[in-house]
Amino acid sequence: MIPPAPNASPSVTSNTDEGSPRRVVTFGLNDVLLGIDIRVVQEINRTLDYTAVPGSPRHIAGVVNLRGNVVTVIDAHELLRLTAPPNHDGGHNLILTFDGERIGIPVEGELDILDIDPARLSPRPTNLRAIDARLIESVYLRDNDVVILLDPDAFLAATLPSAESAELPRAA
Amino acid sequence: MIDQELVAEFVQESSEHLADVETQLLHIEALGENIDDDLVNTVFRAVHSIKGAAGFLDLTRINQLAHCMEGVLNKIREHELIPDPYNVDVLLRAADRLRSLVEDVAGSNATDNTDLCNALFELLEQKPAAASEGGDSSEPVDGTEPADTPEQRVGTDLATAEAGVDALQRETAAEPPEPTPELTPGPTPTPEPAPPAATPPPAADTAADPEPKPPAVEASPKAEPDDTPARPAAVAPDPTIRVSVNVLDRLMNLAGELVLSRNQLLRGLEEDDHDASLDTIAGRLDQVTTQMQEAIMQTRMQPISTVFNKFPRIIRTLSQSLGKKIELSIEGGEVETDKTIIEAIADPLTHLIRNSCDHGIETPERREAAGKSVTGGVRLRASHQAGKVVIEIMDDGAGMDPQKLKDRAVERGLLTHAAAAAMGDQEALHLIFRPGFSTAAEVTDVSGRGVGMDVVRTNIEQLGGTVELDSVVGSGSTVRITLPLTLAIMPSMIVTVGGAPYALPQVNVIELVQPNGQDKRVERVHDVEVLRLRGQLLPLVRLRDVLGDATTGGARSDGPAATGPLMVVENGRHQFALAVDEVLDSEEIVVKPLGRHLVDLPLISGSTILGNGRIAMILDLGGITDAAGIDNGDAETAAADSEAVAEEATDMQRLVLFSHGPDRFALSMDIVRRIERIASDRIDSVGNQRLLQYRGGTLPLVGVEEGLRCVGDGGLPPHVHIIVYSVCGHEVGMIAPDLHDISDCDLVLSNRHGVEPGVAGLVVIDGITTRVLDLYGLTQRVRPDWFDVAMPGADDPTPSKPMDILFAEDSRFFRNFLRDALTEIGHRVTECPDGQHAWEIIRKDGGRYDLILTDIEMPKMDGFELTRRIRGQASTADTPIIALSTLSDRASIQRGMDAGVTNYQVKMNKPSLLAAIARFGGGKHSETHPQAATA
Repeated sequence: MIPPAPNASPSVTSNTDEGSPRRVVTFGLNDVLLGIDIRVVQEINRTLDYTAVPGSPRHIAGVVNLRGNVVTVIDAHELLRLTAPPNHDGGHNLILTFDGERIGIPVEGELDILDIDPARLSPRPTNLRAIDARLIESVYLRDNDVVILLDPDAFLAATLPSAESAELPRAA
Repeated sequence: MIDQELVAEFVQESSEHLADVETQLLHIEALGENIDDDLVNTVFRAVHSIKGAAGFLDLTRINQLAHCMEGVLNKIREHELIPDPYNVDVLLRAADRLRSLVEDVAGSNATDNTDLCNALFELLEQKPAAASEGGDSSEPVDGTEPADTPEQRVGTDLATAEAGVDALQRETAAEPPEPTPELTPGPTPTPEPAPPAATPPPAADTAADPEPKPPAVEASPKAEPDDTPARPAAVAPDPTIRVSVNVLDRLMNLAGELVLSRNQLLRGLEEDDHDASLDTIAGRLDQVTTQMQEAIMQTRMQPISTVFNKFPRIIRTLSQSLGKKIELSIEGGEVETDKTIIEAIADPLTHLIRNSCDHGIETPERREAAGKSVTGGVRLRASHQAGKVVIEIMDDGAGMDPQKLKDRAVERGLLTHAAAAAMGDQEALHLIFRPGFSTAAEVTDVSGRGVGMDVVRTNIEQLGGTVELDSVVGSGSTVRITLPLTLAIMPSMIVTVGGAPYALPQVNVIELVQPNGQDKRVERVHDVEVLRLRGQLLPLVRLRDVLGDATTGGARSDGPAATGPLMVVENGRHQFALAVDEVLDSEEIVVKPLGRHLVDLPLISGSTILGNGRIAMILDLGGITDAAGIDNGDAETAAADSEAVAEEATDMQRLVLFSHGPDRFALSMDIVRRIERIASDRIDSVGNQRLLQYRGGTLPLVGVEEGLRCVGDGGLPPHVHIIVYSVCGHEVGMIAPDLHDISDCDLVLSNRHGVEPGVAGLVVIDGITTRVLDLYGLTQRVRPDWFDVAMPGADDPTPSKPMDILFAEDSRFFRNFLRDALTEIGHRVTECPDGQHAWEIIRKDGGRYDLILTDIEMPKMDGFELTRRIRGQASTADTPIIALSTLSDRASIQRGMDAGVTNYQVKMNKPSLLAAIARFGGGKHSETHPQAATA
């Protein structure tokens, strides 16, 4: 478990300027390689069995029991409008902390930690279709691939009820 | 310069004083000229201490106001001023002002209280005749008033100084001095006229004076000894300590965690093989946790009088502004409930009280015309009932006319004419809880405050409570609020739907029902499913439909109508049946909040972590009611006809109910031989066994706590009941610490998983989850040795060969109970829910069964008919048939024998039944068993 960063403030985007070396956790979602600032990542778990929450918005996958705390799990595929929700078996759960509240995101692929070289950052390209552009902070170019860096604030905002009209439960 | 801590202490202490003053003033008013000196003294001292401390702390305005109040109080004490509504009103307003000043100490010196001081001063001047010694006390602002007599001045100054000293010496808890101007020998007469009261007593006064004062301090108590216990400092019955609510909240959370861990531990222990000593440790842990949880909850409990005490004042104001005479009586102020609930209930209660006064109680003229006493009565009563707090607000006013309410609802478009016509009176009363019903036409400054009764209801339901209403035109209304004791830990039923567990708060569950096709059956009325229960029709809601496809693994489509257990639930005025897949267990759950993504979900009110680590959503019945479109306007409910009541219940079991601490147990009367009442000290202990010398022999005793999870610690009251039964040839006594009743109950729920060994199932009786004991299993758990030792063959079920058994029984409870018992010892059991079903199987394939077990009362085809048909078929003419019945069925035993039943057995007597199966099963396919004798 990675202990929570001491100053895990959600306004990470303001620290992207030169000077402070940045680290991101990279993960895969439906073959798209994404990264998110390590300061909002609290820990990484094996995917836990989650309990569905009736009447919740579509992008809420459910809740998990994280050492006695009930943590909301976001279905990032749904949220980012990535196609074909894959089988989560064997994947990991990324536990993020925002303002002391934790949310989980089931992810696939190898998890890695990446030290950001600011020189390789580029603003989000307009032709990047895979992900809703509003959630992208920047794109990191590597020798043979790119990592899409998520904007933690925008990501959190997108998960909240106001962002997506919560679906009404079906009445009997 | 002034110690902030001192100021904080002043605020705290003054608030405490003021909290009581209001009630006391009202009491003084009620007594009128029969002045209770002690009571007046109490108020006087409270105001006096505030005055003194305020002076010490340089809080001039507080000091000034308190000073004026004190003067008036003194006059009352001297019987020179008779308390009447007018002057008490001034005092009350002064007390209010004092409170607001104390709440905002920092700003208090900048306030202007001239109006109140003048009003108080007028009271002092009111009866010049009595005031022969001149004007009492000092006078505010108005400098033209006659100066105080020297004694008077000195007296009041003394008071200031003394209280200042008092403030410093608070820890000593000494009875504060009683400054009585007349008796106080003024050491230094103050010749100059009194300074205007607006000027604070000069600091020098207080600071310099202490030395000469002590004699006065001593003198007063002697002269006027009185130690009214109302002053907190004077009485110290229990040592107490102030603890911040935050600390308590944290403790509460930790206790919740501990309860969760305990549940998990116990669950784990049930499943695994482990060292037996662990059980003892776990049991102890279980007990301590429960006790600790209770103790911590206790710290959060507050008497409901905290809320109730503000009502005398409200009623007083109301009766004045409404021109009505209203008397409030309060009962049960000592009933305690959780702080959170106390806080949350204040507003709804105030609203209800206002309603009673405004709409309920009539004007004196009308009351007189109606032949009632001119004074209307409002009663506020709190009590504990079955682990809940019940608050009733009763008035003897005009009551509510259901017809008028209906008319108004129709007027407002809330109800169609047809629906109104079909609506019963009771339901019509509840119309007032509908949003939009609030009667704008009658908005008064009293109750028309924009909050309707719908808000009241919502608020109470949010606390997990319910509101009921009852009214008789002409003689009054009663509102009944039922609240849980605490919010943090909730007893709940755990049910599953689509494989996912859900928690349903126990307060909402009325009973569990297993439809039997007879008096309890599911029907369709106008395309809506309803449960017909003892002649009543209840809407049926399938939880699966309401929760929709949100549930995981919900592959199973709706099976045959409602074969699963149904829970009759109640949400405010709505009662309906909820169909779930399975009822697992009842568990004390700790409410875990959901994250901010999941607030405001309509169907879910929170979550909890179960003993097995899984998360269960807590169902919000209010949301379910709405989502299912349940509306009490449904005319179907009214259509319930009395014909159905005549249908007989078949699975009634006579149960003995008893409690062990907070846990409730039941066992079937059918296996009880005797019940004896004995003195607890007659119970002997030998090793860890308890014995009773009894009828010339020794009766081994068993306590439920030896085999089951119990909250109680096994301590016994002076007298207990011993329920004597027989198992494996042993006569055993079950200790029932608190025997309640023998009653006929419907056994409706069973569950194969989740219940402990020794428990046959759970039933809800009188709203309390009760464990029905499987005495055989329980005894085996407690006294395994009796089962190891070779038993006399007739009572020993184990040697029988595995058999194919056909088992016809309509009660799922017994089906599960006996099926488990039979399969456990190797038999193969085919279950049939009714006689018809059984006959179809037997007709095709009857020859393969070694034994047929059948209930007598079953839907479609009863046990007699089934037996006749079995006997009439060649392949099964000789198959042993054991009929199951309850003892009350004796009359039918002969009928059964005539039809061809081989043997009769009592349902709950598992040992005897198993023995019979062993005997009769041997007859056909195995070699003859040596034991042929009947039990």
